[in-house]
Amino acid sequence: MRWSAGWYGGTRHDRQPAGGRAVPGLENTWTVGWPTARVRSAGEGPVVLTTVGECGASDRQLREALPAVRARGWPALTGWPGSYLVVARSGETLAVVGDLAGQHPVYYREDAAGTWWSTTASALAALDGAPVDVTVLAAHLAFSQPDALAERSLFRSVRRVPGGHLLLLGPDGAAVERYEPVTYPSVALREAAPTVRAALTEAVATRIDDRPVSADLAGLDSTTLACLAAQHAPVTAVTYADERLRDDDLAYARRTAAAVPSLTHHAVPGAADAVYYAGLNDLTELPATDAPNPYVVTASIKRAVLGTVVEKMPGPGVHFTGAAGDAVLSAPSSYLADLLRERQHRRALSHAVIHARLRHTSAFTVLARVKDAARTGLAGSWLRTAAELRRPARDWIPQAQRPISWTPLLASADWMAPDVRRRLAAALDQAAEELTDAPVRLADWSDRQDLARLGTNTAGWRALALAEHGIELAAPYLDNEVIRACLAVPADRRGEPAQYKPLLDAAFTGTGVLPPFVLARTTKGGFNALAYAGLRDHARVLKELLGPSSRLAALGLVTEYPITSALERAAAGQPTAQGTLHLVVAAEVWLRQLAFAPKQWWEEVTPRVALA
Amino acid sequence: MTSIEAYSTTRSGTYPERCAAAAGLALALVLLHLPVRRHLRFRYTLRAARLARRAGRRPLDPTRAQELVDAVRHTARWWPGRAACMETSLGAVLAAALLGRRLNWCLGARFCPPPVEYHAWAELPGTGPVGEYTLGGWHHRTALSI
Repeated sequence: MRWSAGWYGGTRHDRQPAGGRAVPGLENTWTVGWPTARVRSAGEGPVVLTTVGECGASDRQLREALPAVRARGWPALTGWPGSYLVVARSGETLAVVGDLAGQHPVYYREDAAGTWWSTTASALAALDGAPVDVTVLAAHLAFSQPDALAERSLFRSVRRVPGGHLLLLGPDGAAVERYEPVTYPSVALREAAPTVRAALTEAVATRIDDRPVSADLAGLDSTTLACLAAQHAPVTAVTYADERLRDDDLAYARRTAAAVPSLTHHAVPGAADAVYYAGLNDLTELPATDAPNPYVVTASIKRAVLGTVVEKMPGPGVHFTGAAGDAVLSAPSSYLADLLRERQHRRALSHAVIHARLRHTSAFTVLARVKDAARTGLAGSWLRTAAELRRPARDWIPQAQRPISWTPLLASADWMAPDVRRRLAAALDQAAEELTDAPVRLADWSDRQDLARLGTNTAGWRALALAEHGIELAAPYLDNEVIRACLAVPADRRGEPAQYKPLLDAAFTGTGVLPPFVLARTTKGGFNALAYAGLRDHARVLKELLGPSSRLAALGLVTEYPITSALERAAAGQPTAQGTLHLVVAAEVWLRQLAFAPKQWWEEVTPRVALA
Repeated sequence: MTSIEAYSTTRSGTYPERCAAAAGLALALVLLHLPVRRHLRFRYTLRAARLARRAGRRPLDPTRAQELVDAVRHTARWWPGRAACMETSLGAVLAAALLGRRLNWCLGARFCPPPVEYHAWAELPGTGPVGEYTLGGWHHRTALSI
């Protein structure tokens, strides 16, 4: 696993990351598993700047940023293309800056002698065997919004730096400071389009060197990346095409490959046993991740894709995925709450009619769903959610029929023991009380939370790709600059319901990057069929995994009956709490991995080494 | 898979077709939302659909049929209430009847991929579903066809 860590303090530390390599120019800072080329530094005496990861800045640009480091203008260090961690020292102050989507998260823990920081919470927990924080895990399962319990991590006594914040370490201790505005000044879609195009083009170009390049070729988002990459290098494009999916991804992929000369296309045929939840009986086969990783559930499918990539390419390379494209290029219908709050009633109604058409319901039903969220703010919404958690569990209905909220409760909240629900409610009440700089628009909040969640998920997928296939996964839609360019367009414009991905359309129409029929596409594939097949085929394993012997059950985070009934519904082909089951299974696997395969994170430092 | 076919952004059809589409949709909405008991309402609706089939005898050109279905969906953007597959497909069938043409009204379900989904659509005899996404085997089983 790749991670970075550091120590800041008066006295000498007695350990360092196992297999860690010291970062040149910065004392007591290590990277583990990162290739030397991905750790780059520039420095002048007490001013040092290091980036870890895919950073698009040239050596010169790094040197030119040193005055910004000296002046402690940290935000200036976050605008290069790519996805990376920044560690910068200016005199006595050390700043650790993660990225906006949490692909390089920052955690820390303080003790009397100093502060340990790391990009991995498990490593910091392993310093003294800190246990999992059940309330935070409950929050992860109940609403999956990482910033709701802002500074709490999945482990007790490990602190988390929330999205858009950086960690400042100085002689007076650790401080967390915001570097990204809560809300971006809004930019019209037409004006933002060239910025989006430039950001995406650069994000793709940054990752292309002499490594072989491959890409997913499925939906609009991944196709865009594949075509951008094809402008620089030959691209091995793969489409997962199981017959059961019954979508048109393969047809579009073939057409695209025929139209773009440097794309070589390969279809990955599905296999009967390549369904969700396959291979969960042997958890040692799965790479360990820092947080619950939903890709463990779809690992068999991802392995088939990456296996084909490895087979068709001369060597391990970089693989582009359209992950998070939906999150930055479109918007969920919850933005209607913002339109109502801002009294844009006509626009709200006209959008609601279209959403109603797409959801086979009436505009009044759509508006009724968002009415409450339009009247409350974030803190108020948390208080309401807390009150809801104190009431008895609800019966399951599809999430799409529940009222929209700033922090909506998922079905898993209803699977928890009453005692855990009360503890979660208390934590939410406290969070509401301590909330500072809350966003005014619901879309601003939920977009950030979606991205943070996707960033963590993609990190898990990246671990899988790297550990098993040696492939570097690139998810440019999660890059800082791409996020900034896209989210500057208000959600009601990005999510314009009558048009599919209008921002991508405006950015790439007439540029010759994408064949025109790709941008005109209005369909989107999905993996529903394989999810249901998996729920049916592996119901027994799932029941056992989440049954009375499960770790989640031991913590009171799931109870047996709802799981059984959800699995029964799936077996009958009825709609069920599919996404929630997915989340819960990933959490259970993670907990078991923590217990059964403790990783050796640290090694003792002998005095002689410490002196050297 | 999802698609945004249920909503049409482009105005389509000739003037008489658009008028027929508006009238057909209006009629369908009245029928499907009659303030009577559900089974009675459905009986009236079926009777109307059968009548429509008798009224429209002449065949319909596939491109005209597509335009007509799109015109009904486009008209539906004015209606804030429910105008889902049931309403728009019946609207299209009635609109065709008003023009003296024939479209079949189909009700059915889709089992694969799960979950089970109920659906209604308009079908052109001999050609198949109109204005539906059928590429890649995206099909529903017909339970009732009028």
